[in-house]
Amino acid sequence: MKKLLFILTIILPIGAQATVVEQMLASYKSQGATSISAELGKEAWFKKTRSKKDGSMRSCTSCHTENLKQQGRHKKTNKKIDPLAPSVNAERLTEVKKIKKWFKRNCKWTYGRECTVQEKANFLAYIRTQ
Amino acid sequence: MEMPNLKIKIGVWDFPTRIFHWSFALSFLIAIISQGDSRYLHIHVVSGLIFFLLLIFRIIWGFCGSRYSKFRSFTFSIRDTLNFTKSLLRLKPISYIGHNPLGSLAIYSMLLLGLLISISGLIVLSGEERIGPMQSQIPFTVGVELHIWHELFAWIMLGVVTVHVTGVVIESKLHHQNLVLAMITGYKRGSRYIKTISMRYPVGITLLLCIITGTSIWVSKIDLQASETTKPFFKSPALATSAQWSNLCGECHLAFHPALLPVRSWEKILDQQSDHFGEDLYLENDEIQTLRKFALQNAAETQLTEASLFMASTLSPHTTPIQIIKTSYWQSTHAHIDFEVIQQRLQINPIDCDACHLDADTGVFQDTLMRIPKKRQSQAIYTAKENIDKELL
Repeated sequence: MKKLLFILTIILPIGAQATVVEQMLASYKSQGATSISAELGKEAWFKKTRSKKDGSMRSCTSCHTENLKQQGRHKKTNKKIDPLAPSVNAERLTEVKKIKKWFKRNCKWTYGRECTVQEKANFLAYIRTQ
Repeated sequence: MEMPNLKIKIGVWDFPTRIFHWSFALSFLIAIISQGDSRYLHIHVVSGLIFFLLLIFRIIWGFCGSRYSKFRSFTFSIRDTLNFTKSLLRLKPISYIGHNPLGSLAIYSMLLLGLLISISGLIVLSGEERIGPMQSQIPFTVGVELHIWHELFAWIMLGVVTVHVTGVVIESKLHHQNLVLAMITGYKRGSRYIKTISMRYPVGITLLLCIITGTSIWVSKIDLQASETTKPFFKSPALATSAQWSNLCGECHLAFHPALLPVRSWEKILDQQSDHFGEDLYLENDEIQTLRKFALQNAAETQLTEASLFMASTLSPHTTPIQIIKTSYWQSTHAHIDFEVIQQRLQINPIDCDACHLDADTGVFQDTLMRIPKKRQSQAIYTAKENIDKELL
């Protein structure tokens, strides 16, 4: 019995992730995202773009680093960021509200605009493989 | 001047007087030494409190004590004082078994100054530091004003102490009598016609026990090296907390308590959430409303703590600062810190208040809860998970 419960506590969050991500991907699809690709997500993750605000080169790796299993760092305040990889951090990709919020905030910081549904879908696809 | 011909041991200073004398001197010394550094405010206040209580004892003892401790025995006329002064200037001071006229003046000065120091100190503690039983009764401006007087009285007292010590040394030399030893043993050498006193041991022992007990209790609460486990020595007003505020504002940096800036600053910051130091916060309306309400109710204008008082009173009403570290109050209190070096060696930024201020998250910023960090110890930059691991939460 105990063993079963133990296994459930591991599976359920993963399960939760699975359903949340599926939910969001489905929603993006219905909004126009086509051929969701983790590869493209990874490319975009690493790609640096120049900020119109201060001319610096920015990408997701600026704070989350090139290895999602590692801790990240807020570029300005130095605040540590828990690893983004679901394989290392079971709480990632389990809350729709949270995902939406940080997409908004962080895309704005990185690109100066909100991400398109295609971009967000690709990102999610990439992150969940980590 | 007559030197006593047949010198016998005469009891002059009773036990309570002697206990008082050295405890009083020590408490004053400790208070003066601890005055410079805010981190040792508790030492300063404890020694000051002991100083005050001893002073009250001495005043009472001036009416109830043995012969030479009573004020009656060292109240001199102007004529006697002048005569003594003249004899001193001739290097042949008139012999008094107890206090001499000039010495008495020093003593009365010290008692008076002691009272002024103690009372002004209590007012400063309440008005400026917002600590103690009268913290809400004394206006802030009064507390700040009296701080200067408190210091002035203390330095004058130090001057009188110097004169007193000099006088004791001079008289000891001129009368060939160790007066310091006399204040320890209670005995002087004098003519057998001079009245001796009873040492009043019961009172003295009681006094000594009170001093030791009181001091031990207070000192046991003092933590010289403030750390995360230190219990605050002083009871400061408890500022309001808000889970929403801590969570939302603490996502990227320390959730600065609203008490650190005025209402207009928080309104500006919240109005400008789409450009919050380069980020668009995308906070929902209901979130903004909650934050706004908490900020408005708990901003610097509430003036409950020393930090909020100084912040509110030093800001020009024409400025609306959105950065705490750019205010004149922050700059003047942190001017002695080399943040470049701290940044390089410890990776601590000026906004990581809680690296040094152990109660930064409460917004109180008590003086005795500051410490010099040895390594990167700001909780704000650690993730919640790490803090749990390190048991820093």
